[in-house]
Amino acid sequence: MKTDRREFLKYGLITSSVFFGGIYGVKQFKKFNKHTIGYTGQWVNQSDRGHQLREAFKQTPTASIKIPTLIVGGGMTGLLTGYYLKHAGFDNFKILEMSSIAGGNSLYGQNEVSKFPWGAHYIPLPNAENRQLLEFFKDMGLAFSKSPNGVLEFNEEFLCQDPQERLFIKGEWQESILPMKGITKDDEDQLKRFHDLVNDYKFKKGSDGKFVFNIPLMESSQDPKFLKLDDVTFTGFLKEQGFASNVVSWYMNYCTLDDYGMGTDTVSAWGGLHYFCSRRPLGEYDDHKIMTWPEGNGWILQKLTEYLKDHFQTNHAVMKIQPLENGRVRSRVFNFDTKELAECESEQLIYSGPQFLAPYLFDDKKNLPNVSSDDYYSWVIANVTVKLKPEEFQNLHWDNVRFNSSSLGYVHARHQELRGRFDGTTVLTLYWPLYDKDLTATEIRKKISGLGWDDWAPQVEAELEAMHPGVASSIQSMDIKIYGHAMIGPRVGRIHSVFQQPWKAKKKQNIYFAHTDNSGMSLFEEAHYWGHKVAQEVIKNG
Amino acid sequence: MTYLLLFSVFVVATCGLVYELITGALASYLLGDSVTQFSTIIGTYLFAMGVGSYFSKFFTRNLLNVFIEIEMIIGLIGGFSAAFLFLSYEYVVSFRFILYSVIFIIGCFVGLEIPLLMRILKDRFEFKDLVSKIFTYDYIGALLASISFPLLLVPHLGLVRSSLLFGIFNVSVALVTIIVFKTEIKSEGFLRFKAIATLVLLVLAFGYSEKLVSFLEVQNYRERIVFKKTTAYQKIVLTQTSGEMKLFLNGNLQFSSRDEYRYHESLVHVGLSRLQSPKKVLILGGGDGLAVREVLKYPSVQKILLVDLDSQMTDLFKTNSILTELNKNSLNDPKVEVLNEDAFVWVKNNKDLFDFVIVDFPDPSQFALGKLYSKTFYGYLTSTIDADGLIAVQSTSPYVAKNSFQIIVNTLNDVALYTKPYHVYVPSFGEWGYVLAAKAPMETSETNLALPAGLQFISTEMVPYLFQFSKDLIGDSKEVNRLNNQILVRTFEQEWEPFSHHEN
Repeated sequence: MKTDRREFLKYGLITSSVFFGGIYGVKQFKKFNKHTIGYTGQWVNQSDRGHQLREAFKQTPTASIKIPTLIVGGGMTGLLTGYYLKHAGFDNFKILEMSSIAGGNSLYGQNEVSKFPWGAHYIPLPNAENRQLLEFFKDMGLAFSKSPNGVLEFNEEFLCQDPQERLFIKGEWQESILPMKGITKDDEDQLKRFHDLVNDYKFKKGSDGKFVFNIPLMESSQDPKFLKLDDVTFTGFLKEQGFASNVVSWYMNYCTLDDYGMGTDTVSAWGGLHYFCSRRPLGEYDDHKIMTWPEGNGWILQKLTEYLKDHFQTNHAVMKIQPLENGRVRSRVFNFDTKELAECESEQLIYSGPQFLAPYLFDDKKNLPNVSSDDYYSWVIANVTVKLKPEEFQNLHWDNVRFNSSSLGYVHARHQELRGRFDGTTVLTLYWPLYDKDLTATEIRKKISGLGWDDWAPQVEAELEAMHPGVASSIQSMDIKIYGHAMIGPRVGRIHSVFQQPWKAKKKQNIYFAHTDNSGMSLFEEAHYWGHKVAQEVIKNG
Repeated sequence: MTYLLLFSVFVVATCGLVYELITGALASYLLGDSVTQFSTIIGTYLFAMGVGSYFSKFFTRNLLNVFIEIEMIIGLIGGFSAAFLFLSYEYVVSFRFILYSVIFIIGCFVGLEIPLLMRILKDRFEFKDLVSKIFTYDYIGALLASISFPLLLVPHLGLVRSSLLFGIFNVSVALVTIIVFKTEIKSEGFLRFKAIATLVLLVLAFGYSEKLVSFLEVQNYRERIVFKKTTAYQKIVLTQTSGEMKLFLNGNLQFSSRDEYRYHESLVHVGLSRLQSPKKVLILGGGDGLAVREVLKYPSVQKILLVDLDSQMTDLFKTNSILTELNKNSLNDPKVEVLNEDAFVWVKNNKDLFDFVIVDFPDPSQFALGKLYSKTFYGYLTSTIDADGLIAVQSTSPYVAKNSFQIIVNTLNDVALYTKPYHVYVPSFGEWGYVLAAKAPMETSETNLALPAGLQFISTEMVPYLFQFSKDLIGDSKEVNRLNNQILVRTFEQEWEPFSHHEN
């Protein structure tokens, strides 16, 4: 059989997504022993699945199975869909996850020092009107009803402990990420003006009576007057508003990189403002409060996978999805363990994988969400185990950022640990979005495709050294993971497509899309929204 | 050229006096009793100078060479004298012998300087001018040294750095003399090499003096260090001066053997004597066993569980004979069980109930320690006692840190505990506070306390007064210390800041 260009691209994409998608937990780690660097580390990426999948596409099914409700993909949204199905007593479903462990961007790791995140690592407190998410918080033990009238108290153990954030600027640390040290009067004025603008938008409502910016995103106003903000870049908007200060630009760019993995030159003004304006104070809690755990959102992941343990299987890829005339959905399921391919029939199918892959996994390509792989930028995450000097350890904040760095700084994994004394060892999780305003996401992926641990470790080390001179000698190990298609972000124009509700485009064929890609923003709150929403729809139909 | 030599008289005179002052100050610093130390140091030094002067007559040739060599030797010995003495103080048994030897050697060499210079200069001046000039510069140098020492050197540089700096001056005199008189001296190249090498050594030491000083810890302790150990969690230092022993953890004073009975009797008996035959007692922190010693005075107590993180700390207080004498060997008592675990972790997992709980943590001076004073921690702490149980919490100084003290009270109240704050005076610490907490309201006018016999401080009559607070001890903070605000650590930092000797 000859492989044509299209087919080559298909395998290439899936292979690279599996490769870069970073499937943790596969016992295929490479150990590195460097003489130049006094520590070892793991390159936490899996490389042999693409080839197997490619074989699977050519195989003929040898079995046939029935999964009444099939959820494809065990990332956060897929698991939450399952959670709400089971919660409602709807038991006849299965979640199939292609990699060896479920969790997607909420994966975590663990060593003898601490648990640590391999991706999403915190959840901001929900807005007061996000009742569904607040209920979920209660179910997870993250919040309690303080009184019969429903006033909520969040579990102090999981609220980010003080001190929360600091910034390394002009050779020193300052509290808060907003630059304050050594900035000019003009910078200060512009920051103040931006702050006012944010406060204005935060409580502004559109002609439809909805907040201009809200979470879940679908609850935002669709007033065209504000949706126009999706037509320009955030940089363009800031320029037009007269924000020219380098300090302001750095801060904005830092924030959009932090949430979306893309800078202000790529993110739309709507997306950029959404970051700042979509969260409002909740009772006594200000809008800066977040919940976090040593293992990041892996904490939620563990609870969900425990709850759903009879409902999900890893090492199972679903492909060739095809709606049938009789309203059922046919697909093929490949088992990586047995190498068996089965034909599967379902009453309903929920596609919970990244949407740029949909065209390759669906045989019926009509009405698929219009998402491009250029909507996803790449990330590097390094988990560095260090033993710090007492005074350095004592001054750690949860989030530690360096001004004018291309990395996002690091998070201190043991920050939330409930103990009174530490011996100075901890894991620092360094986040590094690979963004370049002059390159598309695809071009960036091409650029980094051959790079490995040897290439990244010195960069990670240099970044830590810039903040903590001499720290390199206290590094005990460094594990690095790269996400090729880390997550979707609101590039210019994306929010317009979100409001066209592509998630139910194939509803008539009993196929739904449940993923944060539906929102164009990779946030836990969005995963929760879609998990809940799609589950309700499935129950109604089932 | 001649005036250069006269200028060097001035410099060497200043240096000579500075070494004397440094050694005197260091001796009074380490050994106490400054009158004796200064008096004996000055005496020894002056005598040694006389010895040096006497021996100057045995040098007959190459006087410039001899002078240069002497400058280098003084620079080296004098420069490192303070660092060397601090170091030997910790590791050498007969410190006084070393101290007087060092000052004697420096004195001898300094004593050589002036007679040699006089002989070098004897052909360049008339005798009456020579004497007048040399002693004028000598005494001006002495004046400069004695004024700059207390005003500039000690406050800004400290002893170790001052001595290094003046060592650099001495060697500089040698080097300049070599350069200027290069035609009049022998083997100039080798001498210059030695001078430069010595200078580099001293400058390097001065450059790294911060590390040197922190290694010597001269800043932290004013008494003789008898034990020092850095464990995974803290630095334990034990000091001793004439019958008084002090324990420092990370540079913060934990107790002085002279008045710790006040602190520990107050911590234990004010609460424990209220209970009808208490049986089980929990102590969190307090690895020194001194609170345990007090608890053991209650015959009804059958079991004491001590949870202290640091096994090296509890081992020290189990085995060192001076310390077991102090804590009456309490940690080795069969009723006592010692668990080396983090108190937070332990309390969170604990299912046992106790009649009395003593919380004796270090002050909340860091964020990690602040967690042990948080609402979350106190929430778990409530499950260690039943309805009749009592908790006593050491709560820093309500005089220095009244709002910090108030925040601890507020936080205990916030987990539905009733509280009764009290305070005592402990000379080493100052005014010190504690909080008694329980699940039911408490009476403080009690007169039927079951106090054990033989206490030195606490008595039934005075206990009710401990609950009275004067106006300057009452804070008005309404804050509750939560993990996500760490308001206690922030307040504590602010309140203790003016009393910064507390910080290490």
